[in-house]
Amino acid sequence: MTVNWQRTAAFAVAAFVLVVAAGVPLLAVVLQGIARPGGGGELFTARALELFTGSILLAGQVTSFAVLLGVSLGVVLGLGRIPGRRVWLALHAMPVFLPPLLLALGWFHLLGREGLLGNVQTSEWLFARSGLVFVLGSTLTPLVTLCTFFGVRGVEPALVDAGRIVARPVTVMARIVIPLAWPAMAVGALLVFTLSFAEVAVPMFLRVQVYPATVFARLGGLVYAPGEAAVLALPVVLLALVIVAAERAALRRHAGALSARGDRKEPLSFGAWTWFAWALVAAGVILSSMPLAGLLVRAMRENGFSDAWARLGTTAENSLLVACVAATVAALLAAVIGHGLARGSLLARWIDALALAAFLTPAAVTGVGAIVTWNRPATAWIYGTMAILSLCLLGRYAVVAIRVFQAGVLQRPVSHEEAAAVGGAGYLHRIAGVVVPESWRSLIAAWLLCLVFCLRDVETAILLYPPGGETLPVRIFTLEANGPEPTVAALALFHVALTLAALALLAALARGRRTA
Amino acid sequence: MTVPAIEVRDVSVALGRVEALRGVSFDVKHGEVVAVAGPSGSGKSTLLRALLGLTVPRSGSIAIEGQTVSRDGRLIVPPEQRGLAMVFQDLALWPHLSAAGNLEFALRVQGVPRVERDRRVSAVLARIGLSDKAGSRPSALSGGERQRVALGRALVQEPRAILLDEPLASLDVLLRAEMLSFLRSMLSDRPCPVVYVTHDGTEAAAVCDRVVVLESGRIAQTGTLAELAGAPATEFVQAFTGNIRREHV
Amino acid sequence: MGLRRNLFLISSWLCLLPLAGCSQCGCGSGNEVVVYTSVDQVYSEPVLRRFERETGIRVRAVYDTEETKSTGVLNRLIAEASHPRADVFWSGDPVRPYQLVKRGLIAPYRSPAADGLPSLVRPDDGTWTGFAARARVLLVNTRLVDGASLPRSLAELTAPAWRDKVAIANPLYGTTTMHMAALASLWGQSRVQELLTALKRNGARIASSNGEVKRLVVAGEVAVGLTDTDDAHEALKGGAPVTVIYPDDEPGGTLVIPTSAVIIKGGPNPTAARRLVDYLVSAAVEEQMAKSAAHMPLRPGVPVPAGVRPVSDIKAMNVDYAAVAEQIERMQPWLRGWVGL
Repeated sequence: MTVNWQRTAAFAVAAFVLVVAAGVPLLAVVLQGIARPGGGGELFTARALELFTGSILLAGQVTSFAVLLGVSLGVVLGLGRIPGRRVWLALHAMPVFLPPLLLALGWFHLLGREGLLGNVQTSEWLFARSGLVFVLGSTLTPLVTLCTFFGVRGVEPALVDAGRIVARPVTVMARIVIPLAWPAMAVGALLVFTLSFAEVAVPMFLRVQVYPATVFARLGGLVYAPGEAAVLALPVVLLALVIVAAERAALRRHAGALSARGDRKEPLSFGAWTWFAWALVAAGVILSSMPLAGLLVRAMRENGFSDAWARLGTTAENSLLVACVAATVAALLAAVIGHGLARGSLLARWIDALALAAFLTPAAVTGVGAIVTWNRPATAWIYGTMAILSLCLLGRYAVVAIRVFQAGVLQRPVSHEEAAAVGGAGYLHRIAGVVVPESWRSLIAAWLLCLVFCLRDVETAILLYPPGGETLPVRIFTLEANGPEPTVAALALFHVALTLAALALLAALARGRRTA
Repeated sequence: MTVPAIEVRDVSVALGRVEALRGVSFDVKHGEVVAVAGPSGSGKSTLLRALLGLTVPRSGSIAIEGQTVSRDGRLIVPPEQRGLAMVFQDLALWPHLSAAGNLEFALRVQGVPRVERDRRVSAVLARIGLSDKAGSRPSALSGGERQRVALGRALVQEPRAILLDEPLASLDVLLRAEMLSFLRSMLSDRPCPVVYVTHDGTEAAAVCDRVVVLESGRIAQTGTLAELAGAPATEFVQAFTGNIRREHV
Repeated sequence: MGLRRNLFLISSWLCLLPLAGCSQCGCGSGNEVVVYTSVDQVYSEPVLRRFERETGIRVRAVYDTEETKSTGVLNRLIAEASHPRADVFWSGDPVRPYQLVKRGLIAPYRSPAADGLPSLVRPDDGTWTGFAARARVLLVNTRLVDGASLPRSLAELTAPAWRDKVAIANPLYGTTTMHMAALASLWGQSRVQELLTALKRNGARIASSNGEVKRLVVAGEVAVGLTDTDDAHEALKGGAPVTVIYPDDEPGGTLVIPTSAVIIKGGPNPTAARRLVDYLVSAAVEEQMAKSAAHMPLRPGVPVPAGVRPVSDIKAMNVDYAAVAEQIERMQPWLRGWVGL
């Protein structure tokens, strides 16, 4: 196979997988919208437009919160002299492992009128837009932190040192590290924006009206109107494309590191600002832990843990298996498409846009599309089994892996790949022998984040899990309806433990690779 | 007696379980160019990092112009206050800043007024022959041009000392010769001492007054090139001085 | 060598994909039945497990979340219409099945085990069979409301005394939708709209679900909430300072909502489906649901535990569930506006 054929074949396979996983269900949704009599213009009332702009503003506020705290914390933990940094990062990251509604419940147990720390004022603050921004912001901040952490650790150490000998650590972080690592931070911000925009359950719980609820109202009530839902989802997809275009325009001006020597790693000392760094770490850990503490207190009542253990069944295994398969395939796709995106491939950009549209479109809508697509006798071996979950989760969250890996590749010089090409290495050899080894940290991060998203998914799973094949989040939410609150809280904490266990195993593997 | 520009006394550095430097002591006089030579892994780069304050020695002391900057495992003066400049092995030019921006960065963070900043940057750009490339980012410059920007970035700070970490290692033969000549002319103008890390005897001969040879973290030999060539204490020193042309010695 | 090793690893991982499928293979092992249910899992699962034990027929179930947490099994059933995967739909109300009836997705079946159930919940066409019912009730926090001031109807809650003290679940979803549609079918749509408008003007909170209403009342965030008897029962079981009011004083009375069992047309296991429906509509299940879920038996003579009111003691609303289903669709646009969407 010549070099070009290898690349073409790799892209073709990656594109095919994503089209199958994400594109076809999306197309089914679009066709339902087109088939709707009347087109759908009448659905876009003044109220709908008001909600749309309000949701964008809300997402912007949540993103600002998350970026402010997450970037600072990610830089501090990524580069600073903070003993036990990985422990703090894991503690801070825990909220990302859970569906946001469970964390909102945790905050309710704390700040509700009769919560552990609550009163009338805290309750009024919580059940309002202010509370929504806070809950979503604190829940999603770890995404920015994680992306920033991996991003800054990928900055060429010599560039940091060169700044360090003329400027204080804070100045180096602000003027050298952040400008170089911002593509990774942008991935985090993009994830937060899209997730907070698309969130339905938490705003409903906190009694704030948002645009995605208009889509949900066509699919979640006793009136089933997927055509209307599809039409109302279109502005969301258009928003995704606008964000992508803006991001690409900004990335064109980005300059990656010029050289890639090995890993650093002497942490930076903050000097007189050490107290501030520790205050940031404390704030990040406390904010993340508090809702989980609320759930823990709830779970410890009335045999919550023992009852939850009895109700666990095979849900944990189901969750892990489905998520691992989806994340692994997503990481493979990321190695091709993420790399192509970083190197300016036009085809990669189109595939990435498809993946982003699938991520942004409400899960209820794409889920219905997936059922229409795969519920056929010929594909019963997919639809009637856990494979459908892996496939749909892959379609939904592949963009997470693609973008994270892209950010990592951007920090590496293309000259290394060119050197390999000159030496006779074909495309696949360059990917496997140069790109992946140099950006292995980013690939691990891509797999990791994708795994976390797949593990915490409810909306896709609830629509598609085969009878008897519940995942753990589905079990949590089906039991939440009148189930014992301590049991539900305990199951949520089991889910956190499951995710942490998967991450710990990954960290052990990564450490083993480093010392090998 | 004049205080040396740089004093290193009994410095030891541990990197994890590895003793990268063991009891290293030497001086650099004002105006002197000292080469630090040694095989790979001998501790040359670690020595530079210790001088800069990026690595804190486990024991020993370092003083710059009589001011103790680290002692017995303590960092007394942080890196940004030592007044040192460095040309890194892979140049470490900030890719998001232009050539002028790379030169200007240190002056800006040190609070140099804008007028003075612009004057010094323009002067150095002219000195290194890149006035017309002031707005170019490093990715748009040739290898030789990037080399000059890296050196200019060090010079513009008017530092107490300049450290160079194998600055010519990545250059081809022709460019190396050109840059070596350029370096000689730049360094001959400067008023400050220079520590020049290299494993190439020809480079050392071209620019340095004295050589400190490191092997396995210790000083194996120190002296002028003539002294080293006349009585090499180790195989490396013999090889290091073996290729130097007679006229340099 | 490195590339070959990597490709081998990749291939090994890809082999996991079929494994992911095989773990819950829907290959129809024969002696099984697939049921989708919107009855809360904590109540429905024990019933289904008991069926498994007594008959040896394996039950593979799909459970539902509260309405506002996800789009629900009803939508899944409709989306799967071209190739049904479910045999039975056990619904938490009799209105959802009408969405399936409308689309021709139901196989009529008049279960012999349904004898004894009122004719109101056994339509002649055999499309659904109702049993084990909930009622729409007012849940009141007794720390905030004294005995003399207990409300008796929804209409009372529009009075100034109840300003900012009331919670109602989102009427776009679940039993609240059904309740409003039932009232509209009795009173007319405009009167229901007036009621809801007055409630909103009086500061009524729109909670995301009946469970959320329960939570708000128990926590004292509001004094009274409109919810279902199973939610109210859970609050009482938890020792919360609450009492339950059946709004018999409401014109028309209290809305009773039977659960319902339907057979999906074209399901993979029709024989087992009929056996399951026979089991669900039996007196034994009504008794089990009364004990565990505070669902009122509709069959006379079925024992009712303390704390569960027999349906005969309630002034039950006389509704045509088919008409209620139609009313729901008509009311949707106005309700969306009321909610603020």
